[in-house]
Amino acid sequence: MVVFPQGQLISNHTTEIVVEKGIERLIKNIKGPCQIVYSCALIDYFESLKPSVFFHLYDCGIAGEVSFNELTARINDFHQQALKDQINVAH
Amino acid sequence: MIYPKKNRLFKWMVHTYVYWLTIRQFKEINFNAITIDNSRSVLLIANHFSIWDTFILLRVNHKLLKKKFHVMMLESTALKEPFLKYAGGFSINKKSRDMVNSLDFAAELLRDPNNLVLIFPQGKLYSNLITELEFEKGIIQVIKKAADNFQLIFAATFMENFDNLKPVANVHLAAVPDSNFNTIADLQQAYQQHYTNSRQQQIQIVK
Repeated sequence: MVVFPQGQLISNHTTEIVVEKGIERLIKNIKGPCQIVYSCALIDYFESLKPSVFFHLYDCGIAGEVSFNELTARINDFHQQALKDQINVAH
Repeated sequence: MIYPKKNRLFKWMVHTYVYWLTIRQFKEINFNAITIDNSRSVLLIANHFSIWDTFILLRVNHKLLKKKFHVMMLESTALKEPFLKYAGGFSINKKSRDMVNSLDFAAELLRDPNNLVLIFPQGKLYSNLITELEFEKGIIQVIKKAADNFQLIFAATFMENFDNLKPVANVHLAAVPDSNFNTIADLQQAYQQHYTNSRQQQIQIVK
């Protein structure tokens, strides 16, 4: 299942990901084992007229084992890292 | 060094092609209005993230700045996109002594108030998502040699899609009141401030 926890369309240039509360309720209600993956999609052009999308994926942990605050912190830490990695991304 | 070539037909073809390309590929190209000093040329400094930035600024020049467009580009790009020399493109080779000629040529162009010279001081392509920029020092030679003959304009361009399949380009322009920069660090710091402010405005957009 894909969820966009920001709840609205935010600039691709943002450095901070605001995670809305709904995801907390959703995660609490997951009964079986479920891995939470944060996908940070960054769009760049470089040498091409067509855009390229670079997906930076991060394993946030298992539902039920990670608190909402911890999840938000992990997403934001990884997002910052993804933006740094994007500078040296192969293109 | 590759110099701009004058050919009215080819120039018209390049401008028409860029116009058609931007109309077809972009939902919008937005920019803010700034006051242009008609008695001076324009030195336009911009972030470099794609070949689109040249095309976008060519359109901004056509709509707002209305000067004779020139752009400094790497020799490799000039060879790859040979049609750009008909739209004012001239080359620079950072690994050759010929580099001085390119910088002199840019300064010479700025002596004519009808001209605009676009320079990307980062010297190569970087992501459009970077927060910090680093300039190569060549541009300071252009500024010193051209003295006060030009108006310095900063441009920071950001691409976004939001709820559109086609991207929107937002160009944040600023006329710099004092262009007497003695070191590349001073120029970089001034541009960085403009870039950071523009980026903050960009981030405020929510759909």
